[in-house]
Amino acid sequence: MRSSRTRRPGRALAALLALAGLLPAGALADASPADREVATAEQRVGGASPSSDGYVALASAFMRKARESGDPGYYGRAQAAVARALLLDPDHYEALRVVPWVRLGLHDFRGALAAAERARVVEPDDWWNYGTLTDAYAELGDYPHAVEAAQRMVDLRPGLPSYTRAAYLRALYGDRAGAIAIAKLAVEAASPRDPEGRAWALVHLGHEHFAAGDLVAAARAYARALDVFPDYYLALGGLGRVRAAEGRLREAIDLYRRAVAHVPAPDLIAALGDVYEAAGDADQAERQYALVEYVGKVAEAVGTTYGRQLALFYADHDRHPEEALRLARLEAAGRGDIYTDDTLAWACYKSGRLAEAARAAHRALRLGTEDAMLHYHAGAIAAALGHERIAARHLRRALGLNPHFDLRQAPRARAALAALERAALAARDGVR
Amino acid sequence: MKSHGRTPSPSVVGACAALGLGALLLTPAVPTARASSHREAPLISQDPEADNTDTYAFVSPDRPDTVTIVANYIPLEEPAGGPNFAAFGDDVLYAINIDNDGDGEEDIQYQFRFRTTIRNRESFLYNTGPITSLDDPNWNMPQTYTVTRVERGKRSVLATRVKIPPVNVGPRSTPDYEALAAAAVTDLPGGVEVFAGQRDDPFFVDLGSVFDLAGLRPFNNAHLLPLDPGPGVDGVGGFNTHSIVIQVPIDQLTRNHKMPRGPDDPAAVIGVYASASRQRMRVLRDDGSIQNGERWVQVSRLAEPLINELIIPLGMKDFWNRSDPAHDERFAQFYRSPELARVVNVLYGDALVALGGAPARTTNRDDLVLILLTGVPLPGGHNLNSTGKTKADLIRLNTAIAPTHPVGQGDPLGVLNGDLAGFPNGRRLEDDVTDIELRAVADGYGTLLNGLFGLPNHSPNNQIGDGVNQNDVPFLEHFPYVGTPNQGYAHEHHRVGSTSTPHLD
Repeated sequence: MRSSRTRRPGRALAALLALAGLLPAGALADASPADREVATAEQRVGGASPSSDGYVALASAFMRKARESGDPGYYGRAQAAVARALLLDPDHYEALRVVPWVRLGLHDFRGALAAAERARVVEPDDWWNYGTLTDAYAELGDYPHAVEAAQRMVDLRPGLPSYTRAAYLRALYGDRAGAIAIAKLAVEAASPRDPEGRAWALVHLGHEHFAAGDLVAAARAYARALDVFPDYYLALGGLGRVRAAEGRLREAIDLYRRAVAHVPAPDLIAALGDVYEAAGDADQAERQYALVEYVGKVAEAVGTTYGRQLALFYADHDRHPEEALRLARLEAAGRGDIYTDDTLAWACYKSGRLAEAARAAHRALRLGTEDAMLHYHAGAIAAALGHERIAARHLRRALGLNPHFDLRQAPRARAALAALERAALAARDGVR
Repeated sequence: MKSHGRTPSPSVVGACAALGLGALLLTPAVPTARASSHREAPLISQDPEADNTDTYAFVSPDRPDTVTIVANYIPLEEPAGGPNFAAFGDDVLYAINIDNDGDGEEDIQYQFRFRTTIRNRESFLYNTGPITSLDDPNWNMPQTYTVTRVERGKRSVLATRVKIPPVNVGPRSTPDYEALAAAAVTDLPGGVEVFAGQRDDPFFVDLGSVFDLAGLRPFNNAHLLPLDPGPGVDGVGGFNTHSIVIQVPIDQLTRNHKMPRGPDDPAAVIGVYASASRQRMRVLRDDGSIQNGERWVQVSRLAEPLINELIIPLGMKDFWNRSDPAHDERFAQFYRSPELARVVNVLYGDALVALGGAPARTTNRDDLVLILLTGVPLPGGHNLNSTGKTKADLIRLNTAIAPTHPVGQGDPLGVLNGDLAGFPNGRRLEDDVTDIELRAVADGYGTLLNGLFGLPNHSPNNQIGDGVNQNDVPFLEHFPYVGTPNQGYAHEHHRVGSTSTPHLD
C-alpha cells in the first residue's frame, strides 16, 4: 500500500552518499515533505534579491526538518535563516514570531519568552504568539502564565497546536483523563497531509495512556503513529517501552534498535541498554551505556549538552553521580519546569545531598502531577531521609499509577516499598 | 544562505542516523547544537478539514421553488490520497448560515456533524474489498452525519445517521461510483434534500498563473514581466473537495416563511455563508467536568469567492476567518481601496493604456462594496440582490429571480452579460467568478452595467480573464449537481483551458 514503507533505507543511503559528496543534495530522490520545503525555500533565497519572506520560509522549513529528523543541528540553521530575515527587515513580523520558536528549539527559554513577548505586542490577536508563550512559560516553570497563554490560544484558534498544549498542561496539573480527552481531539484535528504532525499527536496520546498504565491503548496509539509516519523514532521508542513493560523483550530490542538507527538520542540508547540488561545480556547493555556516555562526552566537547537526558541516565544507572549533579544543576540554571526539578532531585539523591533532593522533589510535585516517576523519586528520597510513611505513600502512588512505569526502576520501587512495609510490620510487632 | 548546497543532516547526530549506529563509534562526532529534550509541540498546522474552499447558492433549475446551497471544504484534495483519504472532521462543526433580514446575522443555520465508524480496529485499510453499497462491510471507515436546523435559537434535528458515499478510490474499490453517490442523496422532512461527500472541485481557475504575480496566460505579453501568451491551465482540475449540498424550499428560508411575490419583495433576497468551527475548552477543569464543546470557535468562513485570497491582507486572514460577517464594515476599506486594483495597474497598466483602455480606479470603489458587501439595487426602485446598508460578506441570492438555464449552462459572465440568475446574484457552479471579479476590479464592466449604472467599461479591461472558462468535469443535471469526484486510480491535473476568455456582449 505505502511506498513510504520502503523509503527509509534508500534515503539513509542517499544521505550517506550526499554527505560523502558523491551525490548532489537534490538527488535525494524520495525526499520527505520537510526536505522539499527546505529545497523550495533555498531556491527562494538563492536568487539575486532574497527577501525576508524567503528567509522566514527557510527558517520554518529547518524547524520542520529538525522535528521530523530529531536532529537538533537544524535549529542552528533555522536561527541563521531568521537572523538574515531580520537583517533585511528588523520589523518583519513573520520573522519576529518565528524567533521564539527557534529559541525554544535551542533551549534558550528566557530568550524565547522575551522574543515571544515582543511578537505578542505587535500582534496580540495572533494565536501563534500564545503557543510560543505557553512553551516558554512551561519550560521556565511559570505554569500559571503558561495556562493563561494556552487558554488564550485555544480561544483564538482551537486546533492541533492549541490542543496539544492544553492536553500537556492538564496532565501536568494531575488531570490525566482530561489530558487524554484533549489529546484525542488533537489527533483528530491533525491534518492527514501532515503525517509528522499527526504522528506526533498520536505518540503523545500514547504517552498519556502509558502514564495511566494502559499499555493496550498506548500500543495502539504508537502503532497508528507508525502507520501514519513509518519508522517515526518517537513512536518506535514508545512502542518499545510498551513491549518491554509487557515482557516482550526481543520485540522491544528490535524497536529500540530501529529508533536509535534513525535518531541516536541518549534516552533511546539508554532504554535499549535497559532492555538488554533485563534480557540478561549484560555485555550488550554495557555497550549501549558506554555509547550514551560517548555521545554525552562528544556533546560536552563542543560546549553543548544533552543535559537532562544524560543527568537522568547517570543517576538512574549509578554512574558518575557528580557528573549527573553537575549536568542537572546546569540544566536547572536555564529552566524551571517540574521535570528539571525532578532530575535535579534524583541527581542530588544519588550523590547523597538529601536535603536539596527533598526540596527539588517537593518542587517537582508542586502541580500534583500524577506521574509514577516523580512519585518514585520522591519516595526514594523520603525513605533515605527516614520518612517511612511518606516514602511508602509515594511508592504506592507510583506503582498504582503505572506498575510498568520504567523497566529498570519499577522493580526497585516495588522492592523499596516491600522493605518499608516489612520494616513497618516489624516495628509494630516490636511495639507489641 | 546561498551556500547551503546540501540539505542532509548538518550535524553529526543526523549523520549518525544516516550512517547507522555502529558508525557513531568510529566517527569523531561533533554535534553542533543542544538536543531537543523539551516537548516540542506542533505550531505549524494545516487544517484542511475545517477549511472552506467555495460556497454556491442558486435557485434550483429543476426545482425552482427551492434553493440549492453547496458548501465545499478541504482544498485541493488529491484523488490518489491513500492510505489516509480525505474525510470530514468528526470534531468539526460544519454550518450553512442564512441571513434573511439583511442584518448580516444568521437567522437560520443548518449544522452538520459527522461521525466515523471503524468497522475493524485491527485494520488501517480504507476498504478490504470492493465497496458496492453504502452498508458494504468491505468499507472499513464509513461516515454518517446529523443535520440540525437552528432558527433563531430553536434547534430541531432533521436527520441522524445520514449516510455518505466513500471516496472515489478506483475501479477495484469503488466500481460503480455514481450509484454509490446517488444512494447518498437523502430526503428530509419538508421537501429538503441533502448530500454530503467527496465531489469534483467545481471551481476552475488558473491558480498557477494568477498567483504568480497576477499572471493571465492569454495576456502574458501585456504583463510587466512578459511571457509568451498561451491558454490558461486549470489549477484545480483533477482535484476533489468535500461537498455539503442542501436543497431547501424557498419558503423555509425567507423571513416571513412565504414564497416571495416577486424580485422586488423585500423578503426575496437571502444572504448565505458557510463556516467551520472547532471546539474550545477550559485548559484546566475546575470542577472535574469534561467541558468540551461548551463553545465553538469559527475557524473558517466563506461566502463570495476569492475574498480571503484577493481582498483580505495576509496578517488579517485568521481574524477575518473567525469574525462574524455582521461586522464586516471593518474590512470595507480593503474593498474600497483594493490592493488588487493597484497590482493590476502596476502589472498591466501600460499595456491597457496602449491598447486604448485605462488604469483601474484604486480608491473610492463603492461599486465593489455594493457588489460584494451589500448587494446591488436596480434603477427604478427595483432590486437585484440588495439587502440594505449593513455590510456583510454574504452570497446574496434573489430567490424570486427564476433560473435561466439548466445547471451548467448559464452565461459564465452572469449579470455582466445580463443573465440575472448568475453571479453576483447568488453563485452558480458554472459562473466564471475569476473573470467577473477581475473585470469588475479592472473597470471593464461591460455595456449592460455601463448603461444601467454608468460603471466604467474600458476596453480591453473588459476582456481580461485567466483562460480557464469552465470546469474540467461536467456538472450533474440533478441534485447534488456537483460533478463526480476524480478517482484515485486515473485522473488528470492541470488540464489546458483556452487562449480566449468569455465574451462580453
